[in-house]
Amino acid sequence: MLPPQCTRLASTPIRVLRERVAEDPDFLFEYIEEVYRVIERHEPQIRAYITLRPKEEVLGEAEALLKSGKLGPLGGALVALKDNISTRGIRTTCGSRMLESYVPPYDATVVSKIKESGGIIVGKTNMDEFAMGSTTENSAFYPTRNPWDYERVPGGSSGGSAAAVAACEATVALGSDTGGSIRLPASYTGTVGLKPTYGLVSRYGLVAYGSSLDQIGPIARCVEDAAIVLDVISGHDPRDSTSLRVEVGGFEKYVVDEPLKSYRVVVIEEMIGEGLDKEVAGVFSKVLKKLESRGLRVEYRSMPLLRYSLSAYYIIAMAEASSNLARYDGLRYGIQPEVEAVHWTDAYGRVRTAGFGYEVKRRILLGAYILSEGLYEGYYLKAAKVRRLLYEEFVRLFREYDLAVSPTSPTLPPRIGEVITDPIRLFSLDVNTTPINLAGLPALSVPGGLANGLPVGVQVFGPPLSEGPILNLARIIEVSRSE
Amino acid sequence: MVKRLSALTLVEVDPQKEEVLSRDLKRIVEMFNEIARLEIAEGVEPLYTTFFGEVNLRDDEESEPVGVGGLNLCGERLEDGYLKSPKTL
Amino acid sequence: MSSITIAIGLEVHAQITSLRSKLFCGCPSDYRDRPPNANVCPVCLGLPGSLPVFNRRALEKAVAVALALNCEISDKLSFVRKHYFYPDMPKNYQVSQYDRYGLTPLAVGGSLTVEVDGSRRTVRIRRINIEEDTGRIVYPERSILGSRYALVDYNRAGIALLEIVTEPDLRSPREARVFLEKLGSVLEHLEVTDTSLEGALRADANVSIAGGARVEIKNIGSPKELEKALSYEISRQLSIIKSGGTVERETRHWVKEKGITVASRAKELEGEYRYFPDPDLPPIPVGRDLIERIARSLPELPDSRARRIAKEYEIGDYMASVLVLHKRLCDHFEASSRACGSPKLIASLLVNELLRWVDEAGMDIATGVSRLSTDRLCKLVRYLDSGLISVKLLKEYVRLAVLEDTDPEELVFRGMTAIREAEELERVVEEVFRENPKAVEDALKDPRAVNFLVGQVMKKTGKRADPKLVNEIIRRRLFEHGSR
Ligand SMILES: [Zn+2]
Repeated sequence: MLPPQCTRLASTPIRVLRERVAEDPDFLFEYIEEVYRVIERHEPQIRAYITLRPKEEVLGEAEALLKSGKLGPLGGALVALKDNISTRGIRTTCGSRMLESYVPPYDATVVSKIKESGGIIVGKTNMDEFAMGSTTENSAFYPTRNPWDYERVPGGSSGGSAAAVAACEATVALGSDTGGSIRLPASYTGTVGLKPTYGLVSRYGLVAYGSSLDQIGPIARCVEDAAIVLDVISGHDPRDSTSLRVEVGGFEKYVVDEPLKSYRVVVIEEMIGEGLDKEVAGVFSKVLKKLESRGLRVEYRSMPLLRYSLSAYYIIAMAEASSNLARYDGLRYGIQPEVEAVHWTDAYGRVRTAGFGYEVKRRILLGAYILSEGLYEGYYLKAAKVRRLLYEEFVRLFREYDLAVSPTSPTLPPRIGEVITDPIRLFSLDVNTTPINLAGLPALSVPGGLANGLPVGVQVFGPPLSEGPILNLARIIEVSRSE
Repeated sequence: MVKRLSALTLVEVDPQKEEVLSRDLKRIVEMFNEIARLEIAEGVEPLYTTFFGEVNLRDDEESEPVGVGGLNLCGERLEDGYLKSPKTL
Repeated sequence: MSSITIAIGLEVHAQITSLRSKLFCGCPSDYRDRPPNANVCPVCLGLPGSLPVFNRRALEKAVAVALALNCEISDKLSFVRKHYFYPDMPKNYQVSQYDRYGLTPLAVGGSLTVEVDGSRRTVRIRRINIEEDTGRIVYPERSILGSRYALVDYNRAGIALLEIVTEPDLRSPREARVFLEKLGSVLEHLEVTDTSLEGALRADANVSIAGGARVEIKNIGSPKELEKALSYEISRQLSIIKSGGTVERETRHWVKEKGITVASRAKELEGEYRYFPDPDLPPIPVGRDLIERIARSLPELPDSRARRIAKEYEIGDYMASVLVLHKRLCDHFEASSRACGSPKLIASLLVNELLRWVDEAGMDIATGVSRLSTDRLCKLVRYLDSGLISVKLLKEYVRLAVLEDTDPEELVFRGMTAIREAEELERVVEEVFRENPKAVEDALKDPRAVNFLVGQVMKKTGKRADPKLVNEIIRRRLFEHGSR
């Protein structure tokens, strides 16, 4: 399922790229040239990137990579990185004026891993400022357009990454997902987006939004590419206190066309309840039928607590965001404050007022409100208790079922400017994705089909560390799409 | 409320947007109040993280510090190695 | 003043100087000799995306302190973020601990007993936290107020810190000083903090008089400064009360250079710290086995050491209790007593002489101890035993050793020894008699006037004469004189 910007060559999957380059090293140059041709042609409209690396630099790196002979599992794939993932020597703006000129002195752990595995960084992608948003319209620089329909948003906050991959302006991309920021844009752009189990992928170098919810994950054009990238970026990192010590690798093996097990699949009724567009519902029920036709049992369960998960999510995310964004005062990096003959709170106030956009300010203010003396118990503590209950419900659910599926988003991609003015409508785009982050579960969005010529994503999720089965089921959805 | 929060977080919104902000905040807080009103049984422990592994700890070992020079930040605002800052008194 | 109740509580900040690296990153914990901002990395500078990883040894050190202070130790170590904007804090929040919302400090409910002027006081410890230190702000020009900007050094940011908070149980500035000294000594004995390092042991104090408003004093850098700051603050408050005013609840700053406390510019919204559990640092279990292992390996602590040395060296409880307030001093006492003998003399020289000069000169004890070394103490003991110097000269020798780093041997070479040859003294006495006939007449009538003559002889001999001998000679001569 590719939008019209893609060419056959530019849409080469990683495994094919790996094989072709092994046969003929020059293929890598041809491939890169082609991707840059697509970029030159379509990027002026799509605007997926904030910082694009010059082609010559990328070709030079490809040459060095070929010379080293260490093509690794990524085989020279062009990797786009969401602009909140720190890259040594390449500015990392988080889509914010505050960090417009900030150049990190270090690579995020995932970036080191990509580089060591034969990946070439192609650029840094657009995003909602500090990952706060669901449409990429909150970028301080410009909105990104959906490759399937330029009048529509690509979703967010990793909208640049998803659009770049969808339009074949990169092989794969990394995004970050705090409440759906990988899965929602994947759904809106017809790509595969995976949010791993909390702790599976190191957060070191990911500019924090909601630290207890954030995970980095791949966005790809097919399930297999997503699995290959997950194999590369997952694993224990001593620099992240919340990095799991688990055996990883071998996710690629799960990408097979048949179920590796007779999965018991569940649909949570509240995820297909009110607010679900009938186009989305149509695609989703077709997908369910195809799963059943493959002999998988699909059952329905109710989880009334989900009604509270959006509020719980936003309370926790805003509180953490307000804390995480306190450090931006301009003193050490970013927008420079005046320092002479001015009181520090005034100097900081001017920097922060000028550096942050409206949505970010709104969340900082609300986060401070939530954590205020006397209100903490009613909001933050309560939300954390709801989080516990929700987590326990999921634990119980996954004692009975192996995997769950839902529509990733209740709607088709909104038109640019359509939802951003109404905060509650904006938040409700995340209604099916946020509970996953609250519970720390792995989840993936895979295209289920088209409706009105627009992609509709299906969310597959499961208990902690069930990435393998999730990839397997996603692959089944992927192959049955064309049947 | 907005004034106090602004003072606390050192961010101010465009005066033209203040009204919109107040309205937005009110709507969002209303949404949050759903949770504040929710009755939860005694003994439910809050869940602050979904990391259930063993927390990574460091051994007490030194690594070479990078230094502000090596980090290539705010170089032009250094004075004899110190970072110039607004007054605190 | 004795009828008015003074209640003093302390918030002590002790760096864990025995760690090699900072609390959450690998930067060295020894930052003191480094150029400004050289001792930093992405983590302690709070760069976007950086994450803290806890130094496990800090927990062991903190548990040892908690055990030494008889605290109850939590079964988990949970960190919170405490938010306020300040240029010395790279993240504009400090990673610390908290005792509300179901969270807990590392340890609560201990005590430490101090003895001042023979009376004992048990001071309750409210809690012990592990937290990160901040950077340092300095001012480019001499006058803080005249400067147009501040300068920040983040070398100290992220150093492991213990916050030890007492209940308001202290009753006088002197008691507060001794408490802080003793706490410092406990930390020294546990090999947690080298208190001789600048800024390693700091305190904020709160004082209230006669149940009045609580005033907090920040920025106190040593036990001695603590005593001064509290004395100043108490007299300031007393004079307000005397003139019919009321003391207001506020935070004041101790300005060491001027010896006064000044009102801090009231931070807006102070106390609105918006604590919440740090999501980057999930709680770390504190195992009973860890606590037991540390409890088993606790070293001898000041109280038991005082009991032991009082008995072992027969120096009395008072001397022992003063010696153990400073681990270095006490180590020095024991080493020197073993090397030179005469423990009573050595204890007295250390407690009565060395501490006095060190205090007067504002010198740290380590320097004092290194100047009045075991080698020098042994010489002094020998000189005194052999009569080469008098007790009076001995004290002079100690003064010069401590203040001017002069070796006793050097003083002997300079001839600063007791004049014991009677012949020479006879000559001097004769001279004094000749020069002061009136005084001689007085002394004949009133024996108390003899002291004047003794003084004259001491003066002429540059204090080198043995006063006892001089006295004898003068009395004999007066007797001869009178019978003539
Ligand atoms: Zn560091």
